[in-house]
Amino acid sequence: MVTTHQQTPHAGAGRRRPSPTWLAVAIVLLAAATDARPSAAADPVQKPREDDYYRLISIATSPASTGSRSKFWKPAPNGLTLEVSGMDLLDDRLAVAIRKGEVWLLSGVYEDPPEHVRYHRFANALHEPLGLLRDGDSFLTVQRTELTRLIDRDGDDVCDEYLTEAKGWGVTGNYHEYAYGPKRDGEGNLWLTLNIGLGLKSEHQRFLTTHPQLKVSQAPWRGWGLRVGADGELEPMCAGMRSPSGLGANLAGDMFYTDQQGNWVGTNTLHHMRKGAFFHHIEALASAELPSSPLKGITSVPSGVPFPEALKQMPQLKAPAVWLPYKKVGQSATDIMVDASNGKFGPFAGQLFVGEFTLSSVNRVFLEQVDGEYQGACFPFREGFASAVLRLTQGKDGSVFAGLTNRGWSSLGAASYGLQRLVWTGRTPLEIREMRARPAGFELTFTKPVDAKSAGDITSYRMRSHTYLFQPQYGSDEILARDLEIQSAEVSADRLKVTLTVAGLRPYFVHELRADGVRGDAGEPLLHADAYYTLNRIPAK
Amino acid sequence: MTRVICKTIPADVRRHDRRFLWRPWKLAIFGNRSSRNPLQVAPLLLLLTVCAARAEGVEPFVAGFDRFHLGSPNEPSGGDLLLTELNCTACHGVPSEHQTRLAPKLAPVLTGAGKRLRGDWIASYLLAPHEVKAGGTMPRVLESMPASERPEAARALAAFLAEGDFPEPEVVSTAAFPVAVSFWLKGDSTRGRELYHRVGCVACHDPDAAFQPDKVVLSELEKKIKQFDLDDEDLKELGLTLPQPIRSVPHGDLPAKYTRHSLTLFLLDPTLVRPGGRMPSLKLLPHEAADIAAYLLPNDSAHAAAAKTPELVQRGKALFAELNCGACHTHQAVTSKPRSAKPLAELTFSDGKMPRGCLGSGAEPAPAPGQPRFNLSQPQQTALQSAAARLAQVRTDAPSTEDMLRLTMEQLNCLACHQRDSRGGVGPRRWQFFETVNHVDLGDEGRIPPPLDHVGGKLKQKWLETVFRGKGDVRTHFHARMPVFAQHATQLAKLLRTADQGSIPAHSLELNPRHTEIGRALLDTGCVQCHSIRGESLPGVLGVDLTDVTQRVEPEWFRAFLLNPAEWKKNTRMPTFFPKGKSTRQDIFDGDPEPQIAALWSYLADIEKQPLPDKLEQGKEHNFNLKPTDEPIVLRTFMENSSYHAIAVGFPEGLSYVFDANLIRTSYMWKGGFVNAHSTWFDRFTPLTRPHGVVFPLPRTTFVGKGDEAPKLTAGAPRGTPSPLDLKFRGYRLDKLRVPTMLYQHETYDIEERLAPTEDGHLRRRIQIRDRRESSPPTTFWLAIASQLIRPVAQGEALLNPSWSPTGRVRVKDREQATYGRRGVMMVGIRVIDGKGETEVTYEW
Repeated sequence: MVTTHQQTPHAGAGRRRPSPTWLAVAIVLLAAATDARPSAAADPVQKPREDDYYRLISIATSPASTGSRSKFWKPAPNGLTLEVSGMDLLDDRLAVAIRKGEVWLLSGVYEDPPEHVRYHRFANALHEPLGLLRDGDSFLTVQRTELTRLIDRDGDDVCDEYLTEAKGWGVTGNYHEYAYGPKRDGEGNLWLTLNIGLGLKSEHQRFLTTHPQLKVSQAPWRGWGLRVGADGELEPMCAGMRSPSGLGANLAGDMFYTDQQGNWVGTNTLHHMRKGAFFHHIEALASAELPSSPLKGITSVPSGVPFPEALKQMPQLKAPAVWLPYKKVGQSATDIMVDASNGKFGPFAGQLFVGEFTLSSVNRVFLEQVDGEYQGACFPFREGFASAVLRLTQGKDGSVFAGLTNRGWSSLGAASYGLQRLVWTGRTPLEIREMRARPAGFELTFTKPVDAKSAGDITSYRMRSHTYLFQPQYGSDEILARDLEIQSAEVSADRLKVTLTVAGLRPYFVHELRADGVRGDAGEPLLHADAYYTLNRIPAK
Repeated sequence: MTRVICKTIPADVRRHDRRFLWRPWKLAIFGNRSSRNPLQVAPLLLLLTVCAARAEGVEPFVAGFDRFHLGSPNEPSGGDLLLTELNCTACHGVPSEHQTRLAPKLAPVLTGAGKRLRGDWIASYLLAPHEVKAGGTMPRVLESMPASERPEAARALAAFLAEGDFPEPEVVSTAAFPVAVSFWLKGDSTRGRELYHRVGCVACHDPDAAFQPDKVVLSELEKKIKQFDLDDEDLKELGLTLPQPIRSVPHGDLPAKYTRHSLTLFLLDPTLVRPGGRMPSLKLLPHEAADIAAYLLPNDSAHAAAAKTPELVQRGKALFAELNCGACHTHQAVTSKPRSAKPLAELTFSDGKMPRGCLGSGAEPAPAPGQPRFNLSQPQQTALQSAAARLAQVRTDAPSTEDMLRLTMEQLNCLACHQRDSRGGVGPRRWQFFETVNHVDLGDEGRIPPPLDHVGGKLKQKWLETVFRGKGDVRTHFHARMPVFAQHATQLAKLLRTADQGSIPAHSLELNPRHTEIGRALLDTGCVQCHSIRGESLPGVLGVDLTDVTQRVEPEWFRAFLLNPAEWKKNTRMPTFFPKGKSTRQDIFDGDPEPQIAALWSYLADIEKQPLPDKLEQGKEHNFNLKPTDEPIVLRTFMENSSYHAIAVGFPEGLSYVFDANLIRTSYMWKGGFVNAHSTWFDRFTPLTRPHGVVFPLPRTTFVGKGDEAPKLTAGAPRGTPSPLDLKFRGYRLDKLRVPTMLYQHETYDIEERLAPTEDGHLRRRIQIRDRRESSPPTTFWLAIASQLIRPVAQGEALLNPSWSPTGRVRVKDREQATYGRRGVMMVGIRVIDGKGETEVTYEW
């Protein structure tokens, strides 16, 4: 790119000849091209790219007319403001809820490239619906104030009845009181989750409830996960949520939710929702003494201590199944989607995929049960979405729809909202598919046979463990970090598994693995060499 | 081998182009980068050194000198520029009154340089700087030692330079400023290529010959040339000049020098390692820097630092001092003071020839240790001589502001983009790379950096500084970015202000708070058609936002510019609203421009507290005002004076009501417009929705009891008291006309409530009760219609709050149902017989 402009201007158009300047540029470019070869030859194996295995197709993405945090936010001047807040399948179509309060039916979404997508409005006048679930012929959605069933009585694909299935949680008018869901568990129960109100002011006071001992105040059931009975009764199940924007069941039918870093929440987390569990945000305990609460009798809470210590001090406090270390695995976790495609979405059947708002990506979670409790590992999976990933839904062909919107916060990517589809290309990436806890270390299962030499070399791995501070301040650093010694790495005969013996495992700590040295058969590195295992329990055998 | 190559330089290759020969040369010596190892190639380095000493190389390139002084080397101003840009004044002292002006630009920070620059590149660069980076300003520094010792010295220096950590920009990913993990690995060369050609890199550096801008926009001048097929002669006759093609600041062999990681960090804030600020920050976001790095380094390979032994590092450190590197560079590990050389004015020049020291060439006796060789061209030598001679002769002559300003602008290469006094500006070959966002046609002023004539009279000192500090981007329609010149901000702003003092006719604008409304009205006349205010603009408008204009510009410039825009800005699209000094608005202040302009200024000075001009206010509301046309519109929202569980319904007839799904009652009705949906749809902080029109409040309009006897209402029940009946909201249903019917329940009774306009423009409310039980005992549901200041007119008909104008009126269809209770309450008893009951009430206001 080095050249000179020496030429002086010469007479008018038509009489011009190619300038030496541009010839010089061309020479440099040729030189650069020649120069490129040696370095490429030196590194024969190209670094694998996510795009080679999972391809992103944009169905509709759009930048807004203003910044995502603008005081007077405005959508793009034309087109549907597709700020996707909920999705479900309807025959060959995709039903999409959007934040401004509408439900649209989209056809042609499986086309590649999607050139004939059609949009049809099914419902409107919903108050920021943050979920959509098809239930037979109707849809269910959670609005700010209620769970609503949307019914089309006359079959014209336009909703005629907006029936209230359940309501009764507190709403103070505070902006942060988002309500999410519903999702259905393995037994057919509907679940929904409620944000904590943030920055409550005097005008919100009259709606608040206060815990008699702990003196924390929130509107009723704020920061709770609720189950909906057949009669529409709300059953408060578990508490301590901060911003539970994603919920979803695994293949076994157990229900999980994600939380986002903030006060009391050291980093983003994935939790198993079950009756009587308390997760972290103390203000949710405002409702703990209300009649239907399963968390009565709490008189004190730990504060400013490492999380494992807090667990000892408060029996109701349950460790997250998976911590998602900040920045390494996202900055704000959203939706949970189980890969139920039986392999149509690649080698991760049955695993959970977690949306990521700020970094516009999707992460992956492997779960196992130890002593009856869920724990497991998270892995980076795919980045580069056009905007914040708020919703994930698996299509009928196994591909995954990602619903995008970043309004009010910020995200990577050129768009403000939209819909993209992630398609497996059929090529299997070299990845750590599973990471299991063993009595003296971890067992890694790869998606493809690994090179025995590099995978059996302990210097191919590094491990470090840390935990977080349980505190009312925003977030937490990784604390009590320690490098761990990998003592051995045993490769199985089929070269699909490696058992690592690791000294100094600590229960309830996050164990961060970097397997940078592991190579595949073609000498290629792992697509993602890092994994983060939340070791709540060390199995006895 | 090298000699052969040197000899084969074709005679017709311009001297400047010989730099390209470096590449095959280097390959011949080093072979592939992968096999390069300075320790193994020492004999080859030796050969290289011999050749380098004899090769002519390329003289240092100083953009301002090349463009403005090459043709007049006898003028000392060009020499002044070289004195600072070649760091002459880092060693050679100048009289104190010239010290600020002639401060050396200084060279890169070398702490940890070996961690960001490849080790073998550093070694080869030290041996032959003019060949490795043709046009670079780094002199040869190893000349003082025997050729055979130089390769080892270069290796030692390279080893030492890998000591310490280089200053890195801090990149923290936050919720508001997300950055991808390992962002430097994620650059995209296609995007990088776009950015490189768009954001301003090519103002100084070479564009890629193959790059095609989206849309080639011709400058006004180019258009004329094309239209009239003008040639040079014609242009001369017309008094027009095309800016001369301008040479580019060389990149050098970037892949040999940087990794993507180090280049990305460098691009994010070049001044961290190049304190002189000649390579400014272009305010790249982390991913943008990674993209450009990916473009400039298509094939990245791992970083390789120089081979290092403690002895080698020690030797390098000693050499750093010995060679006086510290005169221009800093390195954390070196604290000893650099040596200074003879003051400039004392240098002797004879017969037009420079002294042999720094400016000598290889054939002459070796220089003293620490004395570098610069490889200057003849014009550069002449210019330096003129400058030195002037310094020696005219000791008392303090430099003028204009001189100092010119020098600063040439040092920072401001003139690569901007014109001032008909000097500088974007060169013709680069014009096409300056584009307007989305190619909106705003003329050249919408894409080419503005001329800087009388800018110091236009912009306030503080704003100029803000701009130089990189925080003054008001031309959001530009792709090109104003770079950051933070360390020069105050000085440069002062120079411009002083130089341009008095360039705008003095005139004070009187702030008059009583005239802000007039100013606001005047803005609607023509300003808002092209300018936004507080981010609000008419559809499709793309112009400088006027919000802070009174903070940015001087009032006299504002006045002068408004009176005659073209006088102050050639070819501007800004029209005049005062042709021949007469206002186009004769209805205000009798058309006198002066008070009109003062009123505009008064309004703009108070803009944060003022309402927007009407056209903008209307435009802002317009898109989100819901207007029912052929069917009702429903909006669930947080509603003022109703509830956070509100369901607002607007009818095409201009009637609306809001239902509270929490307390299960109709809260109120209104006539006029419906509501604005922006707060519900798009405002993160969810402010309350307000009814647009005349409200008819219905306090306490709810079921207050069931049974044969009308309930006694408790006195003073506050607003928001729930119904004493246990009611449960069930949602709503839309009928064929898309009119909602609210559904709720009490025990076994389903209650439906439907409000809709009547033909004569009133709202009719129909309530129907059905018992789900097969056998339903008769009973009565008691509904309070309204509870304040009701004045009965007749059975079942009452005036509501008679102090109102116009007065509201309530009529119950079945007048027998109505009774009047205490405290101004009208109650309707709905008899439910055989499980059925209903009522109909009409509201007029």
